[in-house]
Amino acid sequence: MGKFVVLSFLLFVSTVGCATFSSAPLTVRASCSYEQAWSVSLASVDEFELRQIDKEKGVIATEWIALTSKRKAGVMERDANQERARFFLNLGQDPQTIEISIHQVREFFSPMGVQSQSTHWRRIPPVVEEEQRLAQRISNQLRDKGCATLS
Amino acid sequence: MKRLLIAGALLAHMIVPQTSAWADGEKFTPAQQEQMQKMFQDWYTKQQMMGGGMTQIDPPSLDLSEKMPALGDTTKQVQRFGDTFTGGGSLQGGRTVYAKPFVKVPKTIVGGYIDFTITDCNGASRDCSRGLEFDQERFVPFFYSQVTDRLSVAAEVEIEHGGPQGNQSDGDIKIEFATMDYRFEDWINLRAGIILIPMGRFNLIHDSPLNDLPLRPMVSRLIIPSTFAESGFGFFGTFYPTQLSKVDYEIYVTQGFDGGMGFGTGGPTTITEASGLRSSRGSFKSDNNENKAVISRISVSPILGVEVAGSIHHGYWDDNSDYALTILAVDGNLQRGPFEIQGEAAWANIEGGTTMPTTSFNNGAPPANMSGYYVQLNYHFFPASLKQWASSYFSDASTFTGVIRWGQVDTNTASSTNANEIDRLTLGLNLRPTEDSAVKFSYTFNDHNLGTVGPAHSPGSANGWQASATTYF
Repeated sequence: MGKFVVLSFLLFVSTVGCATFSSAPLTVRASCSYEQAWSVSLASVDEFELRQIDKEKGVIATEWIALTSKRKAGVMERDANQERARFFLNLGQDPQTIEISIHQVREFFSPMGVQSQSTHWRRIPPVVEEEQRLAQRISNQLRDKGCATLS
Repeated sequence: MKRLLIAGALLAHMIVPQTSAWADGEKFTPAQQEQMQKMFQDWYTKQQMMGGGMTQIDPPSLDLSEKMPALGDTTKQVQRFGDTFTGGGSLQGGRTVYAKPFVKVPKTIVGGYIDFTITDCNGASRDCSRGLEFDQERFVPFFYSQVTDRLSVAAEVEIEHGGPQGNQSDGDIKIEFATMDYRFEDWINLRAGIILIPMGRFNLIHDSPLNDLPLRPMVSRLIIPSTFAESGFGFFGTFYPTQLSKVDYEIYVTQGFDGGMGFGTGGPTTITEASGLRSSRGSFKSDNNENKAVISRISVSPILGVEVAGSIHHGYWDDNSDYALTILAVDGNLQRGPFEIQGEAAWANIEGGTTMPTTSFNNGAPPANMSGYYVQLNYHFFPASLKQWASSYFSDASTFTGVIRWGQVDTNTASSTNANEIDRLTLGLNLRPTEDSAVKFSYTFNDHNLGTVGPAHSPGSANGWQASATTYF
């Protein structure tokens, strides 16, 4: 019985989990040239250090951005926890439009007890408002360049 | 007059240039702000009365509002992890003689957690064997210090049951882990000290405030003897194969288990049916043999909320290095919305073991194989009406968690008369007023193999309840 339970559990976590968790990233669609979309995308993250800039693949990735966590530590509510985040911009192209998808990867570190051990950083959900603000910034800049944004 | 001007200039120097620094981070209480403003106003008034030549200077503004960067919560502080440690500080990389951590940088955090339990288990054996008891189970101070940009130190000191000098001398004090981490890059970092062994998932999150039930899983007590720490060193790191996925690894060399003498060499061993591998955790100081153990855990998270991991611990347990001991473990965790499912399983193979490890008959040989697992489902909820009704007691972080855990453990898989073959179903409910504090309640249904080892096992399948209050501080 034990083997059956363990196998079922692992299969459930690895297959059902992955299948149900895939969600579409936030996307900006615009009617403009790839060059325009690329330069706007680059400019939209110019305040961050960039780890990856691959124009051919249409990928822009920022370095980790250090953040203060809003989650307080312990009953004394100290500002001890940290967060860090990276933005990924992926540009895709079809005959009519350019698609720029935006997603954030976010991690959390707490020095409280065992949470400081293992590999330090653990993933937490992205802050959707930050993704939306970046998407809005890209949309605005695209419009300033004369592009029509579709969503 | 000259002296007054110098004093005034010094005072101005102390206050004026630092206002921007206050706004950047340092916080003062309103009383402190008021006092500083008053000091400056006094000095300023004196200057005016004396007709000093500095009347153009306006009193500094104490506007402490923080600048909002373009992306709201994100700041423009961009730090490549490894070049400077996250959170900043003015340590200057430890380059100056005055850069001792206790002098320069307030980056040492002292905290801890407390765990008080009430149990009534009607003699239901493992971890909860008696009648109604109050137990100040754990008081665990911890320390975390960012010594330099790359070096950090962390430790937990566990004081159990009031410590060894308690009224009946039935507690203890010990180091749970004490490590120095040297960070190179995300993908490779060095760790040395008393290391929290990465076997399974529970041992890595064993602090009471992180767990939803008062009792630990049986497999994490007998097969993976949590809290499981060993003296050694090794490496850990993280890879990001794709934008969404993450692979963590840890690999260490440690002193490993100390099971005493092997079969036929004068025994008895400390690896037994009754205590599993729990009594065989090795010394932090010395090794019972020359062979070291190797431990590794690899965890794969293809997307946020899904994690599957495998781990191995391999070494020699006996004094003569004749017999190997290998533990394999798998664990997983899945979170979606208010639901969370987690679990782990472990199998131990002990060379030199026997199917009949009766101490006198087999001269102290251990059992040959052990195994165990648990699966746990959590459901988080909080009625909105309760938050409205008692808003001063609860926040957005407050939550109830309903828990079901099913676990089995067998400390001698080859024997059908092994009294430590236990099935346990646990139903639990806890309230977290804040994320780091919990009040827990659970009821355990135990099903034992009716063994003949001793009176401790005679109740067989007694059930019991447990409650605990725990918090980080």
